This record gives sequence, C-alpha cells and structure tokens, in this order.
Amino acid sequence: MNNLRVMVVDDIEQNRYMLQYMLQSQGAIASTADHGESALQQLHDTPHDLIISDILMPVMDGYQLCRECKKDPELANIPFVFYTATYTTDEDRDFSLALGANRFIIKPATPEVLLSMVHEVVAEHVAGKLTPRAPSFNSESELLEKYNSRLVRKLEDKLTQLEQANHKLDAELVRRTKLESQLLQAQKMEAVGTMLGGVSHNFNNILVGILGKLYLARAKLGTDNGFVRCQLDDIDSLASHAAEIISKLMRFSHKEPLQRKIFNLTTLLTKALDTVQIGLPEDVELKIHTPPETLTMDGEEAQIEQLLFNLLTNARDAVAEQPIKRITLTIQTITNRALSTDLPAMAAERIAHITIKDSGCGIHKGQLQSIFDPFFTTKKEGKGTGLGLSTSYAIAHDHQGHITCHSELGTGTSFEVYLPLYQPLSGNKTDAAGPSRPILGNGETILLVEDEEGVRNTTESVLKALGYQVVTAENGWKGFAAFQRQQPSIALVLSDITMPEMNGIELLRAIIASGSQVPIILASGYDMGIFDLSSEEKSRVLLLEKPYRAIPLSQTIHDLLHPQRIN
Amino acid sequence: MRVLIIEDEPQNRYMARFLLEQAGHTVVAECDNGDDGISQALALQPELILMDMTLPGTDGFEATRQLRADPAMADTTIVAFTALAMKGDRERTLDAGCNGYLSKPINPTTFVQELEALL
Repeated sequence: MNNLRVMVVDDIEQNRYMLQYMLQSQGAIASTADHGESALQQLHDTPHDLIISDILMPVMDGYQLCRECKKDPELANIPFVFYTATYTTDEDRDFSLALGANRFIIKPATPEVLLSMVHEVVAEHVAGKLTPRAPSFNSESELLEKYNSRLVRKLEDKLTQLEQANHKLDAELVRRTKLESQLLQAQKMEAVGTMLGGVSHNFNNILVGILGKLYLARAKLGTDNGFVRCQLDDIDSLASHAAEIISKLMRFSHKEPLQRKIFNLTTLLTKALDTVQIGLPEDVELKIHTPPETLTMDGEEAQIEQLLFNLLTNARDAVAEQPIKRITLTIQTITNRALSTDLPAMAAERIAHITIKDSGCGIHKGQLQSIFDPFFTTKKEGKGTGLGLSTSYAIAHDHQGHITCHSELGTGTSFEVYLPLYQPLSGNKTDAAGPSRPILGNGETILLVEDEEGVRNTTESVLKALGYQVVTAENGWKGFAAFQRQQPSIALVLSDITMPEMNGIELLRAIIASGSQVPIILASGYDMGIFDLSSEEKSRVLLLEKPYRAIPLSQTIHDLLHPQRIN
Repeated sequence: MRVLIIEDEPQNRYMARFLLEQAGHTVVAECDNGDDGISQALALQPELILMDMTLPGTDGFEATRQLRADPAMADTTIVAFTALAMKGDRERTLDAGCNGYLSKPINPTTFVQELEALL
C-alpha cells in the first residue's frame, strides 16, 4: 500500500481521522475532505489512486461526487468506494453501483475488512480488471428521479434518527432532574434520621432506667399507699408516652427493626377505618373503594396500621372546619410496571396503591416539600406533634414503598401510598395478647452484659425481682470471661449490643464458637439490619427492643428457658 | 500486554483493537456487554481491561465492582473508557475500582500511550 494516495471523504471529523490514521499506518498517503465539492477540488489538484466516500454530507453528497467523478475523464478511472453508515438499504447499494462505484461497504467495518478491501480494489485496478464503469441509466431524468428518491429517503431516515435521539435526550433530562430531587429528599431525610437516631438512643437508655426503677418501686409499695401509687401510675403513663415518641423517632431514623410477618391488608384497612370512624363527626362523608380480592403484605402490621391511621386522622382534621366534609379512601392493585415514572421503581410485582383524599383547605405549595419533615406541622399549636407524616414516610420506606402528597389550596389534599403486596393468601394471623403479670424465674443464673451503669444496675434489680440470680459484666470481654468461668451455671445471656471493647455481636459469636447452647438475648434500639449476622447466628439469638419492660422481658426469658412451651 | 476490550460501540471496539495490535499488544477478546466482559475477564485474566462505562444491562461501574470483588482481579488494571463528562464522573469511575480514565472519542495518536501510562 506504499505511497498509495487515498481520498477520504466524510463530514464527521472522527471518521475521517480514523480512516486516515488506519490507511497511513499501512503506508498509504491519505488526504481528507468533509464534502464532495472539496474532494473534487483536491482530486483535480493532485492525482489520487482511490476514493473512499460517505454518502450523506453537506454541500455535495457522496452520490453526486461519484457522479461527477465518473463524468470527468480525468477522474473516471479512479476506483470509487462508498463507506457508509446505518439506514442503508439494498436500493442504496444498487444505486451506488449503478452510478459506477466499485465497492459499497457498510459502517462500521473492522479494520481488517476495510484494509483488505483497499488491497483488493487496488490490486484489481493495477491488473486492469477495474474497467471504468459508466453509469447505467437510460436517461438523465431516470437517474435524477432515483437519486432524489434515494436522497429523500436517506434524509427522512436521518431525521427520524435525530428525532429519536432528541426524544431520548429529553427523557433523560427529565429522568435526571427527577432523580436529583429524589436524591436530595432522601439525603435530607437521612441526615435528620441520623441525628434523631442518636438523640433517641440516649433517651432510650434513660427510659430503661426510669421504667425499671418504677417497676421496683411499685413492687415494694404493696396495695396500701393509694396516693404514692397514683403518682407512680402517672409517672408510668408519662414515661410510656415518652417511650412512644421515642419509638416514633426511632422508626423515622430506621433504628428499630421491623417485626415482619404476612398479614391481611384489607382487614387492617377496615380496622384503621373503624378506629377513625369512631371519632368522626356525623356530617363527614366517608367514601371507600376497595378491590374485592384479599390483599396481603409482608411487613409489620402495627406499623402499616399506624401509617393508615395517621393519614386518616390528618384527613379528618383537614375537613373538620370545612363546609364540605368528604374523605375518599381508594385502594387499587397495580403492577410495578404501571407505577408512575415519577417514583423510584419498586421490586414487588404487585403493589397496593392507597389513596386518601380529603376536601380540606389544602396545603400551600411552599409547605408541600416540608410536610414529611419531622416536627413540621400545619396544624394549630398543640394540635399536632409534627411526627405523624414523617413517621408515615419512614414506615412506607422501611417497607420498600413510597408515599407522596398532592395538594391544591381550596380543593383538598390527597396522599398516595404505594406498598409492595405479598402473593395473595387467605386468612390472617392474630397476635396473642401478652401476659399482664410477670412470669417468675426459679433462681436460674442470668449473665447480664451492659456498659451503662444505670441500665445495668436497674436491669440487675429487675431480674433479681423476677426471681433470677444475676452475674453482671460491663463489656463483651468481661462478659465472655465471666461466661467461661461460670459456664455450666449460666442459663441465659442478656447483653446490650453497642458496647466498648467487645460488642454484643462479638460476644454472641464468641459464645457460639465456644460450643455452648445457652440462649442469648441481645438488646438494642438499633436496627439489626446494620449488623451482618449469619443465619446460624440469627437462629441462636433473640432480639429485644429497648427500652424493655419487666413483664414482656419476663415472658421472653421464661420462653427461652423453657423452649418446649413455645409453639 | 494482554488486553480485554469491553465496549458496545463496534467502531470504538475495532479502532481500539487496531491501535493496540499495531503497537504490539494482544487483544485477548472483545465483548459488547458487561456480563460477557466479566466472564471473559475471569477466564482470560488479561493484564488490562478497557471498560466502557455505559454498557447495556450490567454497566461498566457494576462490572468493575463485580470484578474487583474477585481476589484474582485485584491487580488487574481497569481503565474506564467513557464519553461521560459530567462533574464527578471521573470520581465515580475511580470509586467503582477503575485505575484510570480515558475519555472518548479515541485519539489514535495518543490512545496506546495513554493506556500504557496507566499500567
């Protein structure tokens, strides 16, 4: 290919450059032009051995260039090759060859194909096998007609291609903007959640102390002292209220594990409606549209009930002072493909789409973006905690669902909740009510591992009051040492998770590794999902939410110590 | 060096191979999607992987992460080959585990040198 002079004609610089580079690497000399007219000019100035041309180009296209070359006695003998891109049909090929071109190659071709083609054409040319081909048209008008139809077709294809590309770009832009705002919202919620998580964790430990001391004080008190008992009852209900708020905050900060099970969503909706309806004034019109089939989902029933209750209560409050008081509850099942593209995709195939719409005064546009923020409320002072919607938001997200709000001033507000559905099953389980009295132990020894002194002392007293002997340790290491020292006598281990030196999870692993079968309770306010537990570890441990209370704790310990009674 | 090219655009794939082979390197395979790319990388153990980031299906970011998760791929040089030009794109490719970043379109005169410099 040495010193072979090739003319490369293409309107796209990169294509020109690559072809030129490829040819030059083989010893050829390549000149380039970005359209037919410029090529013609250069072809007249310098003799060339080969022309490789694109078809669609501005000023003068490849067909016209080929036609001009073949008409010109000076250029007619130069082998002419079309190298052209997508949207090429057999008609293009036929037309090109009819114009007198020697080859027609479709982009993208591998360098091997291109270079061997060049070798081939040049060899044929040198051997005199490439007789100049005259355009095979009966008349100039036939050529023009064909030329026009080819070109129009090509331009139309190009246009379609451009339009499609433009559509794609528009769609991509919309998608990116949406993703950005979703990300921003998620980041904001995450930051607030982290902060609240830290605060609630600390308060939770204090509450463990208060509730424990309370239990001890009441146990000592007996029945006579009515006044003190009354005060203690008040403290209990206040502390319970505090525990409730903290539990909501922890739900928001995802620090509380979900107690998952499969439950009947339809029944749950009816239950939530019944609860709200009791407090509903008679002039409120409540419309309900539910699908006939039974909907089931996998999640924490109490949380979903809380979510629905929050939204229904909000709707009730929103219509309270309105002339038209209407609340509409609609439940539909949709497939995840039918989910609005405004929302992040959902993995579950079937989705419950719950709409709760009220005829209230609506929410101001400026406030709409803050309504899921913790402590944000549009209700009158003292009426709302500002935790209802943020809790609902967190519940929906913890269940891999979504919640959105649409509102118009003067018309009303609608909340849309999307929850993943479990495959339809009939029937539902109900929780057995917990015991109202503590179940006492029989002097078994419990190893209590807890780093916070207050919590440790209180829990120790509670466990002793429940009839157990207690060995305490202030971190995982000391706990494990105590465990090894007194192993046969220890009936159960109750440990905190977040501790210095060796945490509860490490302690759990150490105990499992020692071969002991002792039951283990790990207590934490944090979501267990953040710890990486193997299935064996999960099967060996019982997770207890903080703050724990004496009676349920006594039940849990009893169940673990007497496993034959569980069923 | 032994190079694996993972790129869905044929013209870029051809050009990259052409340039590499011309410079005396061996292209062990060409793949046009991430999943094939991962299996070929594990099977052929190339010294350098030229990884397009915007692939259909398993994209280059994911493919790189999956490869890096394999101890056998810890020392392989993975070069992001991409037209992405948004702020932070470079960081994203490095976060995914790429050793370097080569932007499209290919510049035939510097392509191989830039790759060699990343080894």
